[in-house]
Amino acid sequence: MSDYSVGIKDILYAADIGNYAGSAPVSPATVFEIHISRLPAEPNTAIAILETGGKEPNPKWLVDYPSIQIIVRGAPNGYAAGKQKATDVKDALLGFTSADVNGDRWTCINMLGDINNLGYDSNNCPMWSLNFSLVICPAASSLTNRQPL
Amino acid sequence: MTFRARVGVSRISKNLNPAQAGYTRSVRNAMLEVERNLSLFLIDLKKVTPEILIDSLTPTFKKSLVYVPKKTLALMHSGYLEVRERGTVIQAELGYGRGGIPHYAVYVHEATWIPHQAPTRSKYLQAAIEEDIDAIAKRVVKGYQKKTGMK
Repeated sequence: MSDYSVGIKDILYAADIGNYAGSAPVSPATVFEIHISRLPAEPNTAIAILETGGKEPNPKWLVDYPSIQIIVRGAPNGYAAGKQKATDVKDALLGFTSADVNGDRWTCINMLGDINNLGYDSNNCPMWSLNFSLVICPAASSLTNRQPL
Repeated sequence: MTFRARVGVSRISKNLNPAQAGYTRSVRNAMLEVERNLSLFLIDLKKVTPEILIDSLTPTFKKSLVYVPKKTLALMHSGYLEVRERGTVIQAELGYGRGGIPHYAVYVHEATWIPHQAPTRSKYLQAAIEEDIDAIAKRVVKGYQKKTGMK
């Protein structure tokens, strides 16, 4: 299975939710930077994609149920723009249509709870978290003991 | 919870003979008996449901109590598992920090970048539920089988 954090990043980038390090911004107005596996100290306006385990994968069939957490951090005291960005992330991912993403079949993306307001960090940046549960049918690798659906 | 069972509509024309009308009455009475029994069964199901939900979720709640960070124990003590009845809906709720007390319950749950001493962790509730979700469903089914005697 390809890295599903990268798949999430690709979906968000294609939807013009944020820039990714080294990539040209889809739109000059996009000021949020997407990061995988960590939330860096800078820039303030950032989106972090973090893996949070998930439900047990099917031992017989190639079906996985990973969970991811997305942290959205706005500019200092930038509540409105930050909340809008969190809503954009929700809209771009929730109800994602079944599609091939980086060689795997992504069946659906569900949300666990709704957008969580985490308050402000030490720089007065508002933060939100969003949690998603994915259903992915990964491409068979040479090592797998499971069968494709 | 209310229940009404209906099977079609019986229409008896004026020209039917008494034997046919009697037959229809007996079928109606039999169906009324089925309806009564089914209603009683559903009432019984409603009575046992809260206990089954509590029994099914208690192991998951205990697992979350292992995972919840215990720096001050306030977060751990804010944990709750309860069943509520709202009209016809019976709802089980497992949670921490009800009413925003302690105020950091959500933050500690979501702050996956803050390290904790094992086995405590962030995502202390989500992880417990995700790990247990299939077992919860099995416990609910077994609970109903045990309480109703159905296999």
